[in-house]
Amino acid sequence: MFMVRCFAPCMMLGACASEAAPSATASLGGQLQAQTIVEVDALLVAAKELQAAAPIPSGRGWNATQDAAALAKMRETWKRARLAYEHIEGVIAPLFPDVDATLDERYDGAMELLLPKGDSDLFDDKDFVGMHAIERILFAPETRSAVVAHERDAFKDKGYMAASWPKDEAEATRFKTLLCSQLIKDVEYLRTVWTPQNMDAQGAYDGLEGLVAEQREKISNAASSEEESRYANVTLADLRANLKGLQRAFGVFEPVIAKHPESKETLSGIRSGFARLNALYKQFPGDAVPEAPATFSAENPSAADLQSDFGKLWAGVKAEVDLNNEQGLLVLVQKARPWAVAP
Amino acid sequence: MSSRLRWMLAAIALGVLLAACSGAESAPAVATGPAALPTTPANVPYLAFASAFDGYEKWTCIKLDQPVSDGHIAGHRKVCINHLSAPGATEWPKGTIVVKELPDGQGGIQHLAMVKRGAGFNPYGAVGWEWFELTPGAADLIRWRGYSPPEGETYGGIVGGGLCSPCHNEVAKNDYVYSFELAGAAE
Repeated sequence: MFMVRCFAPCMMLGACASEAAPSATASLGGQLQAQTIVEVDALLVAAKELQAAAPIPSGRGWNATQDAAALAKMRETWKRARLAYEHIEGVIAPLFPDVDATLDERYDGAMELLLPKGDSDLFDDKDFVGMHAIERILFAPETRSAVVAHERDAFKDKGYMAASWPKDEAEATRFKTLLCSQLIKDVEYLRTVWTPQNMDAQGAYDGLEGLVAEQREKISNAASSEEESRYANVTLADLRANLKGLQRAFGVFEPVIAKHPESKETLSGIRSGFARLNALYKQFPGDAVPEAPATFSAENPSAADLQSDFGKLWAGVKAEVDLNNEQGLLVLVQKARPWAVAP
Repeated sequence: MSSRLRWMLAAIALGVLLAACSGAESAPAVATGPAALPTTPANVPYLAFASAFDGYEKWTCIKLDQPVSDGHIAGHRKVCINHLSAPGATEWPKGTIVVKELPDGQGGIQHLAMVKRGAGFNPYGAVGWEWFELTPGAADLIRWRGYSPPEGETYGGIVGGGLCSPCHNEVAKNDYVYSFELAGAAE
């Protein structure tokens, strides 16, 4: 408890990056934990605002015209919630796989567990829940046809139900009071259990590596038509947010690593890796991952496919997370671990 | 996310492993005596980080000297626990850690651990327990953690041996621990 109480205010002031602490290694964990708690709080605020904005029109379902303001507010808060979680997912997921599953399960993952019945009620608090369950409803009218077809084909006769806005008052009520409430409960649970527990430097560095791994997972999913925020079409925003969280988390370790003179080249390489990824993401406007060519193969992409926008993005990220690339971000982050966790 | 799926697959394969589990660890030691444990509320899980495993060799350890006969794993194992059962206890308290050394099938030693995380973790498996593989001496001590090993990991060199919970379900009455007996388990 002491570490987070001590460091969270300091971090907000940007004042104590190099302050001596009772235990240097424990302080790294405390700092990283403080970072993540700020994001959990932001996620909770967004989830509550989303629920508050959800309309329950008398005698009807949602309507694009009549509920325009509410819909805009819900979508804005959903994206805010999404970004908050993306900042910390790599830290949270390995430590709390149960919470990650309820907050961030994708449709494919949930449906595989629900075979053969599927999710019979899109709006309740059972089965497929969490941010992507809400996203699937909220962005249903604009969901790309390729995404709809992918899910329909994958789970045809296996409980597939097309996404839609609430079609009547009862569905709108369940969306607000059950599905949205469940998200809030799950975030509140995370806030409860993610109490300071003296996360040590190794645990904190595991979280950092988890954030790097998220880059790999997201681009891999996109290549197989399973991209994460597929309904809102903001998976590139997820990648950017994840990278931002990664850089912020690395900032906790950087001063410690830099104390080791032999780390100079590795540190420089890591900074270059961050710069490359940021530059890569800036090449693409908007929040959507470019659509992968129909012929794209992650195992053996053709030269032509690699020249597509998606191919360039995929190749750029893959190079940074390739365990065989000694100059890639992942390998360099792994290489820096001994300096980061040294007592 | 995928860990839930892995758990399901693990459950499906339970039948395959049950035979292998029986007799895999026998000769339980009756352990008694208190030790310092986390005092967090019941709904707050105990999260073990690398330092939690420091000096496990000096905990209460037993050697399981008889080779396993069923071929699932062979060789001698050593199992250590950080906290001994209190008199009459029917479950291991939150913060209990069991570390097992076993041959990795390639001439080395594999280090596996189970940690009583509590707070309802792993509700469809060994309830309350989180599984680990450790690499003592490495900068990243915790090789993996969670409901089960990630894809590609093994148990004693056996591919598919990542089904920790199904095997340990065989000793659910002893709160999923094979090698140390709860003082109150037989009551």
